[in-house]
Amino acid sequence: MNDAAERKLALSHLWVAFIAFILACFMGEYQVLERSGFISALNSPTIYFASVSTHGVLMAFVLTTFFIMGFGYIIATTSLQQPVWNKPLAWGGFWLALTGVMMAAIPLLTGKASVLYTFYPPIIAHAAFYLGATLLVVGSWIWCMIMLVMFVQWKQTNPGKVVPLAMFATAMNALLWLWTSAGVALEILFQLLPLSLGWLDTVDPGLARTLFAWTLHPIVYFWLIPAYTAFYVFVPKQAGGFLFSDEMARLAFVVLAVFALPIGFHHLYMDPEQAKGWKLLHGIGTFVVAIPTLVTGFTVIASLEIAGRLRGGKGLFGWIFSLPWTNTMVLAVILSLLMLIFGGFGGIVNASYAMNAMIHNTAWVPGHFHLIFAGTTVIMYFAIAYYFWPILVKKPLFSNSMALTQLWTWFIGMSVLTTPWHVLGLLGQPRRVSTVVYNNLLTLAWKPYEFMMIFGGLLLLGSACLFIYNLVKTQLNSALEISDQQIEYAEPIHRVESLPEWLNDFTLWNKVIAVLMLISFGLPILQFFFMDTFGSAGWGY
Amino acid sequence: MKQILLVLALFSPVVIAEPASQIAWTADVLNRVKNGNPAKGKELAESCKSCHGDQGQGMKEETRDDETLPAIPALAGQVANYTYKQLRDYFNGSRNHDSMTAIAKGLTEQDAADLAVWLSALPSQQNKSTSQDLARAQKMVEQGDGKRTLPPCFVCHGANGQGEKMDIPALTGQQPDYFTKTMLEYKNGQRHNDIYSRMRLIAQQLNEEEIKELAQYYWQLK
Repeated sequence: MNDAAERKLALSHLWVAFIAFILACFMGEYQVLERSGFISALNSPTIYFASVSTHGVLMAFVLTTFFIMGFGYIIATTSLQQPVWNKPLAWGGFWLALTGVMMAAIPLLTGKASVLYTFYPPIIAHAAFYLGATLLVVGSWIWCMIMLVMFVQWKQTNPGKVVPLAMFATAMNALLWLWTSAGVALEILFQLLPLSLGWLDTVDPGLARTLFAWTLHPIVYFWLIPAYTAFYVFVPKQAGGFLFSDEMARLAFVVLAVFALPIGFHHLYMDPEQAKGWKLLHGIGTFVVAIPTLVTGFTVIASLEIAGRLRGGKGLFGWIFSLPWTNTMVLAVILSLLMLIFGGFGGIVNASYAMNAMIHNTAWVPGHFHLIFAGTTVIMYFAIAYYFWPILVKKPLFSNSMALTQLWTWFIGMSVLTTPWHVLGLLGQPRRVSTVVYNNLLTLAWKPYEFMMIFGGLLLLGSACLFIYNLVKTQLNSALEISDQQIEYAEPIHRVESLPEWLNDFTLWNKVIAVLMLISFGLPILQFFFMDTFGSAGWGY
Repeated sequence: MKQILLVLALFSPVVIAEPASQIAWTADVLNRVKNGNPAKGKELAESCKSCHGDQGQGMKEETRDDETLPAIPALAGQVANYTYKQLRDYFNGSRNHDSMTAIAKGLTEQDAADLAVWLSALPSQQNKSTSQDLARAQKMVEQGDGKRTLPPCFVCHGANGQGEKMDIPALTGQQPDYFTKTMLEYKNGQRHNDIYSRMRLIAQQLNEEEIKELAQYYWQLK
């Protein structure tokens, strides 16, 4: 990756992502402290909800979207060996999305958009918040278009050739995001924005929640796919081996993209607006998504085993100790998979109707999504950043040992934070509350867990600061040492010469998604237009 | 016949029961208040000044010539929807007051909306803090009381006592005597236009001393 323009484009996206990340980390520690009630001077529901909304938006929308866009530009240019198509348009998307973030930040930070990142009408935010979110999404759509155009152009100039796996996954993610974001875009454009501007008198929360459920689950896979891409295309090479199966990887991405979409109603299990038959249908689909996750786990572990044995590892488990644990990508994938195992178990609880009822709206839920997102996914974002930074800034990484410390502390911190969070959920602690002080003997049992969470949060904050420090020091390194490191993609153990078109293109899968979405969401959305439902006036600002 | 009478007797409370208020927060009602004419409201409010004060600040309880004059509520900065609802509740008989019922009977729905919008635009009173220890009231506002299943006041009335758009009054700067009187009326059921008995249920759990402390807390809240 030698083109300065491409590197600048990618770096700009990644810096916006990581600045959002570090700001949100400080807010996270404040929130866990405030919520515990240990320091009464911090007690302020107004500031808490403004902070938690900003934290959620920064982490779930800004960090992810900008990271994925920057990651996509790097993957597209290096795997396809061609420059970014229409760079002015790419910069346009960047500035549009950044303008949206700034626009949303004002009401968020002034407490005029304390609606959490999941919006939750009839609570209503200032219109600038919804406008900002819309601009961010539109900016990301420009990125999607560029990814898909580059994918198609490459196929046209390389007829019959196999699209590189990394680009296949990235373009699949762009397609997934276009489908995913349509739900929340409809909610914002036709419900929330008109309501906040006073053009509508009422909002139907049932319809709004249904549209958001359309987005709410596949968005997780939009965030996760760069991590999975790194699992498949970077980890085997960094570990010193080969990818176990290119075809299995493609299949996993296809099943992820197709089945991540029509399953959002497991977020609505306890909601009244959808009938139980629809919930059952979506519930079954939710378990289908476990398949590509298992395939990924198997393929990545098999790839690591190949590497471990090539490095001289013997016996049933000996290969594990032969892996290069001092390689940030390899360490990150091991820690990421560990968190995926526990987070995946929690996900099965959430997806199961009866068990979901037990943990619904409890502290278990944020515990789960922090473990899966901030754990499994974000630790891979770190590893990708450590891998990309020397390539993007043409300087060696400031400190590999600091990076390894950072990854370990992030893993330990996340475990210390989320384990008690899950337990508190089982003990009945509610979520979405600004304080957990109830002056009640029953809730005294929560205190040790609260204390552990604060400690876990501190570890994470320290780890996050180390991460940013390492990147800044790498970039600002005044030494003349030049890094000529290039991105290396893993080779599959069996070279792929040709593939059926359905594993090399999205046309078929786009149609399959359209049919599944029509089945899963068609009637559940249409019902709001032929049933008598009663909207609510907006609450709030 | 006895059975019929028994059934009638059992169901009679259902038949004669009235809702706490006849105001529903439909889009029509909300829009009526939102689109109220403040200029018209200002004109109408001229006649309110003699009791509620020039700036809508209300009046504390006073004794003149051996006669006790009751406290009168501050209306300045009150949530418009709340003021509208009270005027309509007086009109409909859901709330009763010797003077206010008669006054409200003379106001149309539009008059009530105009007045409510004008009064909400007036700045609420900024009162000086006293040296009174209000730690217990502050705790009640911020944390409630789990033992008595009392929710914190801020949950409905806002962290700054600013009220909520629908049916939740602003309390900041409210006359403490009026606050106390109102809470005691909720406590004994004399006032009953709170939907779902929300304030009645809470007031029944509070003693008079706690109510007075809360009144002072909101009076001096900035």
